[in-house]
Amino acid sequence: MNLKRILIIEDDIAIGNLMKMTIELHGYHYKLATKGKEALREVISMQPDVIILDLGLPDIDGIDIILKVRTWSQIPIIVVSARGEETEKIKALDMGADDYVEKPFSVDELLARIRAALRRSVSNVVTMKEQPIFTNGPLSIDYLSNTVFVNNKEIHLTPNEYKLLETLSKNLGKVLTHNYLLKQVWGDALDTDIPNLRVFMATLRKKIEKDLNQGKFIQTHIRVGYRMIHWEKSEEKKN
Amino acid sequence: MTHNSNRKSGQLKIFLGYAAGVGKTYAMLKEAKEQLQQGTDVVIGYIEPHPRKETNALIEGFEVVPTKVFSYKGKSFRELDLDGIIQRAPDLVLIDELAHTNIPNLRHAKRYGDVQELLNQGINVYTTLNIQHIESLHDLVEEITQIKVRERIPDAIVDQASQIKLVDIEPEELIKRLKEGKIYKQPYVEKALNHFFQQDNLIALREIALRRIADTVHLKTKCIQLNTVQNNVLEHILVGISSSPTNAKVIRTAARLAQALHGKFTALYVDRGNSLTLSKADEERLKDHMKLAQQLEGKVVTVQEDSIATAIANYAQISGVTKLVIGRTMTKSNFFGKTKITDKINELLPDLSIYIVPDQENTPKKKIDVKTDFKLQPLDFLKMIFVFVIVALVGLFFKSLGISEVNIITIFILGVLIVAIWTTGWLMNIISSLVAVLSFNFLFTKPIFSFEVYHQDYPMTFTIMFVSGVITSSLMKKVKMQGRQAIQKSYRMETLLETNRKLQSASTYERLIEEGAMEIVKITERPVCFYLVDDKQMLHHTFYKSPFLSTTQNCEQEHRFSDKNEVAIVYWVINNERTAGMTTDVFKEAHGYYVPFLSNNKVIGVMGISLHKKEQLPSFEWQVLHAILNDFSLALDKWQLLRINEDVRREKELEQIQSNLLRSISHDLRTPLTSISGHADILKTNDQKMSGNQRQTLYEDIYYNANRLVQLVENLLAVSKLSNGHFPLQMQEELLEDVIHEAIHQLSKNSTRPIQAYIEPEFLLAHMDTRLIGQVLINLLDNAVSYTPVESIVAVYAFERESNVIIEVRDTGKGIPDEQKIELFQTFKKSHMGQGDTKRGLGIGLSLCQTILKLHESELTVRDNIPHGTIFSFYLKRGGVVNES
Repeated sequence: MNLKRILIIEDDIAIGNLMKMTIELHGYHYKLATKGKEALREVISMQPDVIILDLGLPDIDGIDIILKVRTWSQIPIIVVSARGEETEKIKALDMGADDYVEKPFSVDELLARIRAALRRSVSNVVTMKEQPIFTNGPLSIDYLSNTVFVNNKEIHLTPNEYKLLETLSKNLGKVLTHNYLLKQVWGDALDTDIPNLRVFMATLRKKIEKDLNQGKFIQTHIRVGYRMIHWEKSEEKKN
Repeated sequence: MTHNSNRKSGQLKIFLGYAAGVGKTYAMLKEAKEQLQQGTDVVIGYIEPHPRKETNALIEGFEVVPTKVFSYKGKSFRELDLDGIIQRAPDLVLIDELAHTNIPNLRHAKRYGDVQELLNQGINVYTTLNIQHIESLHDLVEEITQIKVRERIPDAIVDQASQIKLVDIEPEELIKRLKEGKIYKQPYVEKALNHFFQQDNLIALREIALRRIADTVHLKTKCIQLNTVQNNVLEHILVGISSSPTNAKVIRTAARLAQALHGKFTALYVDRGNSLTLSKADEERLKDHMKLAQQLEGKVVTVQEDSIATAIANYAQISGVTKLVIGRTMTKSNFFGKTKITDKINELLPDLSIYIVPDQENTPKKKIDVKTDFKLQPLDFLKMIFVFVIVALVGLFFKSLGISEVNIITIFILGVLIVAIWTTGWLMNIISSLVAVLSFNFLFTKPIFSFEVYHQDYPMTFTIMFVSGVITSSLMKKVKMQGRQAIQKSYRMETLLETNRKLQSASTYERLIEEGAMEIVKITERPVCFYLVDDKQMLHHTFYKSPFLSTTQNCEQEHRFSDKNEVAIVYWVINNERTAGMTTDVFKEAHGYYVPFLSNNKVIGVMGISLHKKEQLPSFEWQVLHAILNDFSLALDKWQLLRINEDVRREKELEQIQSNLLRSISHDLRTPLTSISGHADILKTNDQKMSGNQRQTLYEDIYYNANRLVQLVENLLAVSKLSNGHFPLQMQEELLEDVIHEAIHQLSKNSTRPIQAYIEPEFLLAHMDTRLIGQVLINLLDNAVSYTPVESIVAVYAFERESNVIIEVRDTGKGIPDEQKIELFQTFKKSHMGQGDTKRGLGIGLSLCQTILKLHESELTVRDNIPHGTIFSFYLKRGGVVNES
């Protein structure tokens, strides 16, 4: 099995070391870049499967790196940022980052995020989008007939709920911000609509997760947004 | 904090000449060229096209901000591009012809308005001006040259100039230049020579110019000596304002006198209660005169008094007036040969010097008065006929009873009195008296039914009857008018008192604005709009509709107020801190009249009043309106000050809380840090000696304590957030389920105890700063988990109660004794951190929770759980109900 390549872009030595050690111990191939320019070079030469990016770099704004990478590649990007800096995270996600971890993070957390990102790059975004039927564990969505099944039982959703679920499923594993979802589902994004979105999401979750014995498809990222997770992953988490 | 006071305003330099052609523009350009060579950023804003080659040659080398072409009534005009210059922002701009009148639709009616705005923007201005355009000199010039000057500028603008340069040449030289065609093109030269450019004219003008300059120089040096303290002014000049067409001249003379004497200048209007009976033209003139006095830097005062003389004397005495300027017409004796005003004032105040100004154009005024006062109305005649028919019938009835003629005469006089009360206009008095005499003659004197009389006494009787009729009815009219005046006076007092009371009793700032706006609607009968302003930005505006207009009209007005152009004017008012719009000189064409309100040198709001374009407010209402605006402004100011005080107090409180929190948090940091560094030390030095089990315990301890540190840092961050400015909270409507689950999730990193959440109804929304409330929950849950036995249950409950959401953290531990419950929150207040780490709630957690909740206008309370354990409870405002679409 060929090793997965992970590019770490982090200027803090201590955190860089921690990440390095974690990743090495779990059998990934890695490279560490401490500056933005160096990192951009590595992205091209190394062709990593996942990028872990600290937003506070000395030379280039982390957001710029996301923008540059996204011009030619869909490599999953996990952003590392301090807790509480929601606006920064939201900006990074809106600019194309896939996921984020908050400092201070635990080793398990980081590994889980890497696994999810790798799965995302493996399951190949393009083919997934083109398939008429989406399956994620017990959940399946028929994009052609706009129907949703959990454990082969059809679930009745309102048009907005369906749109929400569709948007989330087409971005499996990716954190979608409130604004992104509002734009996708309602067409425009007003801050005042966010409470509405929350309630929609809560009812949607109740409908599709009701019979799953605590299993989860959708994760709430408070103050940031929502994400649909791989079913296997949520099973893992429970253990 | 950048307000106007900090902004340096530009300097104005005026090149003053006594006639066209003395070389003002040339001198200005020359001096500007020197500036340019010294490296100043000079641009040309506007230079009048000149026939002179020398002048045109000088223009070369300057950057020109191109003039804008405006078309008006089919013709096109080149006007200064004010916004272009402001955008270009040079150090110095050259603008010819200060006295120029802009075409309508431009922002300022006059060019000096443009110049003032440029100065306000910190741009220096060089400009040119001819002496005859100065307001206070204009009729002096007119007298000498017989030429009416229409374009005038207020003296204040000239006095505002930091430098005035007199451009002077000999009149002979000027005439020579004119003849050479250097000033006007040939066809006009002859005409000019015969009119304006006569040698005596020029000499006189030159003298006036020199004198004006000398006066200014004198004023400047005096100002410097006095350190510009205005209170040292000793002379106080008073002038009477009236609606007489000649009054303007009197006001100007007074202003000139005041300027020459460097004295205070007040213009007094004595309202004899006849403001209602004034004709439109008079009313207009009166307003113009008040405006003129203000322009000439006079204070305009209105008093209500029956007698002009007493009013002037009273005011003069109270305000320490030294000189009174009065028009000659005012000194004329009136109808019944009463004493002259001057005599009366002399009597009352023998020390006051009185200056009588000739104002010969008096006659037209009298005519107008006659017209308005003696106007006859057909309705009045009907009334009169009606009265006299009844009087005649009663008279005939009395006669049949055999009552003597004397009594019948009295009945007729009574009739005249009734007519006087019932009708308007002085002429009716005379007519009704005459009718009374004639009808008495016709009906009651022998021979009956003819105008002839036999008895020789009758002519005497008729005369007396007529005279007494006129006198009584005149007295009646006067009484009637005084009554009306009294009503007006009391109405004004009442309105003002009412407004004042309402403004004082307003409980909130918003309420205050509403009350003020409604009062203005009441007085003007027009809709108004209040624009709330902070830091030069319009926050929002509120429209107050007028009950005197229909709904559609109100709607239309409302739209006009949010119109792009009107909003631009409001911004202009905000930036320039001056009134603008309709009835002013700035943005005359605007839809509304805009008044800024200032507090602490900052504009805090702008009131827009949609005045009627054609029917202007009568001067009485106008005065009341301004009194109300003034009252309102003071009330707003008071609120602002209170607000600032409140902010300061809150900030102090917050600072106090913050410093206490910081002190306790650094204390709380010590324990886990000691443990981590100690354990790491043991591992480093004794690694080999320890068993695997021992090591594992130490690792776990380090991990646990590190996580506690993370928790503490979160609290620290929350504390730092509390101090971020005035509004530390970022309120949002959040789904409680999300917040509670997030908190439980965070906590699960440190503890393995299961925590249940019971939320009823499911989708409960609440207003909160999500981060801070999350922190409260984490702290409460952490407390519950840390200080209760392992087997006890910890759970979160959330439910609705009225407009609130109650959130409770319940545990089934041993509970807290009552005396300690009180201490839970007090300990922190006293800020003695005795044994903080041993007892529950003595650390930072609960105190921080309480502070956060206080900011949410909530409170953390504690009570016993049944059968045992503790409940911590707080409430938040419930969010809106979301309906499924």
